[in-house]
Amino acid sequence: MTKRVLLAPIDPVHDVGLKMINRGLKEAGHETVLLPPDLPPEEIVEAAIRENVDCVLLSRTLGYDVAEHTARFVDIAEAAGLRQKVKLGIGGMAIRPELGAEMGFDGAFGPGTTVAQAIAFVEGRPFHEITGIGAERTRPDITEGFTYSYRHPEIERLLDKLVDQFMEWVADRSSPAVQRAALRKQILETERNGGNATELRQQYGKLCTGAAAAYYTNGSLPDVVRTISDRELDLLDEYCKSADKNGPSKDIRRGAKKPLVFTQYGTGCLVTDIAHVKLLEAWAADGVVHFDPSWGARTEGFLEGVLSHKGDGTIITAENLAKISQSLQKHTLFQVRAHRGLNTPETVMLAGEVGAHLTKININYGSLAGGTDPERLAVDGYHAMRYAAEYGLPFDVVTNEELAGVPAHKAFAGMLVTAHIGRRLGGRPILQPLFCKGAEALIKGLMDDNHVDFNAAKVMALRSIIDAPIWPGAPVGFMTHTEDRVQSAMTTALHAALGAAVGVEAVSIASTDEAYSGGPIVSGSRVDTLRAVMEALRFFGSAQIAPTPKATEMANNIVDGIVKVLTQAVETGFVPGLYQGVFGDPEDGAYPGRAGKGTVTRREQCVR
Amino acid sequence: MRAIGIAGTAKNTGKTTSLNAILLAAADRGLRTAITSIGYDGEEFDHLTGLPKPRVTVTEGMLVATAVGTLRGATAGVERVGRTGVLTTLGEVVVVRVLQPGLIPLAGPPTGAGVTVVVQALAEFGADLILVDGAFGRMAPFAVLDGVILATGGARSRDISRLAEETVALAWMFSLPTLRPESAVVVENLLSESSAQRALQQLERCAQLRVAGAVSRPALDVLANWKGWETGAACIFSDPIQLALAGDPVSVRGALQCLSKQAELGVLKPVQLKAVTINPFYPDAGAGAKGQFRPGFLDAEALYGAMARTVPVPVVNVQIEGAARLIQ
Repeated sequence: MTKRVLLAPIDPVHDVGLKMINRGLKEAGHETVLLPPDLPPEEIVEAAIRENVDCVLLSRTLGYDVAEHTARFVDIAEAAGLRQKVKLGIGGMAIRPELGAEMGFDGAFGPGTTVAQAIAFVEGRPFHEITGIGAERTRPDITEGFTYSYRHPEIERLLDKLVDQFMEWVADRSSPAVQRAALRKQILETERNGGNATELRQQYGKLCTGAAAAYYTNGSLPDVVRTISDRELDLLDEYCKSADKNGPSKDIRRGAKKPLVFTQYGTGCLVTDIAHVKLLEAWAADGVVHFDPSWGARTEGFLEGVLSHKGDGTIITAENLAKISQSLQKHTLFQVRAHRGLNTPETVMLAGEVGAHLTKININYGSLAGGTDPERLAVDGYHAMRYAAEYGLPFDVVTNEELAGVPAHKAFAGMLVTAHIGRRLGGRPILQPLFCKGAEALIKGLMDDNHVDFNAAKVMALRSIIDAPIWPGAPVGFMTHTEDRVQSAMTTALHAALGAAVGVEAVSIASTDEAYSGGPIVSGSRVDTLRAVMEALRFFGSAQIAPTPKATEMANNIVDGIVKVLTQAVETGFVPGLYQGVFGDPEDGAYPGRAGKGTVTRREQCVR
Repeated sequence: MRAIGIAGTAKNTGKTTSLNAILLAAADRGLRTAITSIGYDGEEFDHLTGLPKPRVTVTEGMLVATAVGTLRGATAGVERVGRTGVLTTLGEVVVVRVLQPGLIPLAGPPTGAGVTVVVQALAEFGADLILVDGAFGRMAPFAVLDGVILATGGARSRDISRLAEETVALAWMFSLPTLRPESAVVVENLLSESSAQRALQQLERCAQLRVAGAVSRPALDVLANWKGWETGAACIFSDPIQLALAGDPVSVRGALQCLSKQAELGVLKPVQLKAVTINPFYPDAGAGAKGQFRPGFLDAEALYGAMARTVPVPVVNVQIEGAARLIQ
């Protein structure tokens, strides 16, 4: 029903919000009367009577005396008999619901109020319906619409050849991680059906080392790990409910479809993690990435239970992941990282079991800069990708070896091999180039003039090769951050804006203290970058950031380099090529890892 | 059952302090008390000055009508016993009974119509004395009540003689007689000179003018300066609170006294001024850094002396003597 609304700016300057609401109300079909600013209360009341309005909206930045003046308006409106039929609302920078109530208004709108919220007030729709300002937010599929068709026939041919060889090589190979993943899946299924999994658990324990082996032998947990109590979990549930009561936050991109903004957590403590996740949700992150402890990558096997860890990285257990998954709002994307250590297949299987939406699988980075034996990670990565396909989990393929010094074209060649294997297995890989200032850029002076060209060139190169989703990370701006929070937020925001300008599907961002925290990440530093990114995306909108002609040259060099690496790899084979430095050698800063060396077994020994 | 409003002449004039003192005194007398507010009470620090605020303290058995959104901030133990259907920016006003003493935020009906509904609900739960706390200098919703206690002090004006003069002026308005119009011209609101002039054009056919709604000082000046009042004319306002809202009390009284020489003045519905409470405190914006307030205080004895000498109703500084005299 059409309403008549009187809008009265009491402040002679700060009346932009009221003018926006005026426009919104008119567009929504309501009739409005906008008064000149700074009228005395008596004149506003007379105008409301004369214009026979249903609602009066005032705007004012409140100070002490102004609040008295505004409260007097309410009193005169009451004395004039206006309150029986006219709703009174006030908005402004210092307005809070309590202050609105004190002054006697029917509605009070502080900073962050949307035009839609004000319209809902005028229309008399219940307040709780208008607080869910992100209610339309959904969980998008990053890979939707991509065909994975190749635009570079030569690279497609080389990848086909290389992956043919690999599939033959890997077909009869397994590892303790592959066997544990299969056992864990059976344990979960058995217990879900009310069965006894003691024997399966014993078998699992025999495939473990270190802390995990001790747990399955005598039930002990490492000194730095403890079980979270039921009481703590109950309080955590209450906290989540309380945090979620206002519904989804607003959209960080203001309606633009991409890039989705991901941020990672992994404080070690599940409770703190979930508190951080709630904070990230409140400040409009689209997705969160689970980081596990670094020792988890060196230990064969996972612990069990709802566990807290006194150190960086949150322990992966079925229970921990499930608890985090359950805490998420319905629009939040959940990615579980599985890309470098000795538990890759089980991580992906668990991610699928708890309803995660994405995972992270890699062979080259974990092999060349993550410390895991290439043969072992190739086998584990293959099986992890099979689980990803089985559970419908898209996965990104990182190129973090670039941080160790591996040139982009070598890292990209490895990423394309892994992605091609993933496609063969029916998976949906996402390419993850680094938006960073790595060793190659420093040594070759690729970023001496600007930070746009080389990062844009990476995306241009990948786009010229394949129609696949691209998700720079992780985090964007790596190696450009300093301990200065303002600088750090700024560089993250600029890299995210570049991601938006070149049309990538997502970006991962760091907190401002992430690179230099030397300890736990504080919540405020998470807000720093999310706010900065929101502002940068708002600032650039659909405007373009134009790379110089050098970017095209750089992109062509990357593509040529990829062709050379793949050509060489076809000669050596993929896994031997990892050992032989085809995808990065010691001179580049890449060293084949040793964790899990000699543990790969042949088919006759496999459980799966 | 009595329903009394605690109206302030401004923010920080001691409304909540007076409320707490009256609750204590009422408890000593064994009265069943109930409270609500036309605004919001209960923040630890003032929204605007950042200075500490008195909190509303309730004891076992008391009834409280407050918005549902305030209850989670209560340290008092309460049980919800009823709803009122009256809405505020913090949710519906509900009635709760205090089970354990403590603090409670108050956000009640913002309008006179809402106050009527809530007072009725509290009366049905058996309250002997219903106190309605004010907010800022707002008084309009109190027009529906039997009487008010006026809280004033340094936050209204730091000039003690000016404070006394305007309180006397307000007390004079509350003392106007009740008149029953016989065949009056009724006008809704006199908020401007032009509206007053239009009303007087109608009055040429009648000796009585009744103003049903709000009035303003400029409109009163037009009435006072009109030369057409006939012998036996009367000017009847809705209630004394309408007059108190018309502008600066001293000049409003001046206009009304001028008008009273030509027409009998009165109100349709009386509201009794029961007493005046005084508070020497004021938030001092000039004492601290820019944008910061510091507590400031008038000379309490001088304030009391000036007010008690001139104001024709009991004057009480509840922080010094409590509220026993107010209960009497």
